[in-house]
Amino acid sequence: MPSLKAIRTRITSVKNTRKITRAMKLVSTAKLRRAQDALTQARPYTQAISRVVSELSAVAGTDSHKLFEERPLQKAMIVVMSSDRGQAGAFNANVTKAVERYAANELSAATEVSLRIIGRKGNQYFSRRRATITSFDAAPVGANALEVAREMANRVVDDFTTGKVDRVFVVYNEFKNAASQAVRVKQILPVVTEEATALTTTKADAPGSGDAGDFIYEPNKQVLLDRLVPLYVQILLYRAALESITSFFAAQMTAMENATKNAGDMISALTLQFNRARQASITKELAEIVGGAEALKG
Amino acid sequence: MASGLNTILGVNLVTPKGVVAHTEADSVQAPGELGEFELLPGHIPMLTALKPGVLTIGTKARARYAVGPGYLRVDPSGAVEILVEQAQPAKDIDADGAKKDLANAEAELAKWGDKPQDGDYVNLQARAGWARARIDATTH
Repeated sequence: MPSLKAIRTRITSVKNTRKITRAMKLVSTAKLRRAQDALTQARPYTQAISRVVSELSAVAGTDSHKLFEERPLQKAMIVVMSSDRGQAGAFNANVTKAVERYAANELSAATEVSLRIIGRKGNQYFSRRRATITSFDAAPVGANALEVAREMANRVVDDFTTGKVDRVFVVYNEFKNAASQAVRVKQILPVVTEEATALTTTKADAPGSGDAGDFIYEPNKQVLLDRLVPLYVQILLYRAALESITSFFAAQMTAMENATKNAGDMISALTLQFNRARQASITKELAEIVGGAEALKG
Repeated sequence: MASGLNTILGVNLVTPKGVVAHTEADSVQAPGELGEFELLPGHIPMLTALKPGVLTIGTKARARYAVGPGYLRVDPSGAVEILVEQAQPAKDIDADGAKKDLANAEAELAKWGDKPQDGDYVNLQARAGWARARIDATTH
């Protein structure tokens, strides 16, 4: 049985831990809200660029553009969206596991799978396992997410066009709601948009595609595709980064809430133990006094 | 926003960080890929690429922005949709910061030499372009 003093020290320490986890929960709740706002604000841009890229690819034809080109799968690249910090439950483990599973199953035909990692945790995990890491960047915060996404987009577009890789995927945590996040694997290059394929077929079927022909394209359709498809790739990565940031705060919020609850449970258990120990020592003292008095009576 | 008479342009300036301007104007001056151009009401449908530069909305009540690469699209209904990677109102621009960014990017580009011009090179060019756009927006 630990001494009274030892138990009291433990209680104080757990109480302090609870203060920290509670504060962290509040912080991540506030940050979660801001991250969700950023996701909402990105929506008009995402919709507009997806629509224009699909329209344009429908009139220009996708086979003519290099970023739509399907090549036999030899070298694959995965952009891993992890976080710089932990204390967010299984957030990073889910991503790293999904990357390994995807590389082992879906990409088993590839001769080489290289990684471009965002977030220190992912980097730690994969460098320990000696994976091929092409680049590593710190995890974005809301403010520089766009910049991180832009630079990553330019790099993967270059990797793809120069033939260094044949497929590029991004793996990230998708934000469903504050309580649940799901890992998603998305192909970013060659560009496949569900909207694009849907639109190509409807355009081809519909005879009324005349208004598209009245459009002026400047400088021309090909150059426009050259300029706009990278922007589309960039927004895909930006969205993935935002989803990842939002999920991170949601996961952290849940983890910290559980930690706060566990600390509370532990405090009550320790308090019970403390009171028992105190009672036992009082009983023992009383017994000793009574025993001593009895002995004096002789 | 599309007026049937086409005497005014409904302009929507959008970036990934949200809608920057949603307004009506009598003209738009934009940095087109082939050079600066001015768009007036009643323009026929068009889709054009924009390079980093200065965007001006309106002639009387002028609003100037530094913009990144993107596109400008005139809808068949006459609405103007401007999508750019980034945009900043001229009055909010930190000109000294932009000059510093430009100097840094140009120094890096100068150091590049014979190395293959990969994605990182493109990134540097983009940074220089954006810095130049911001400087231009403050000086005119």
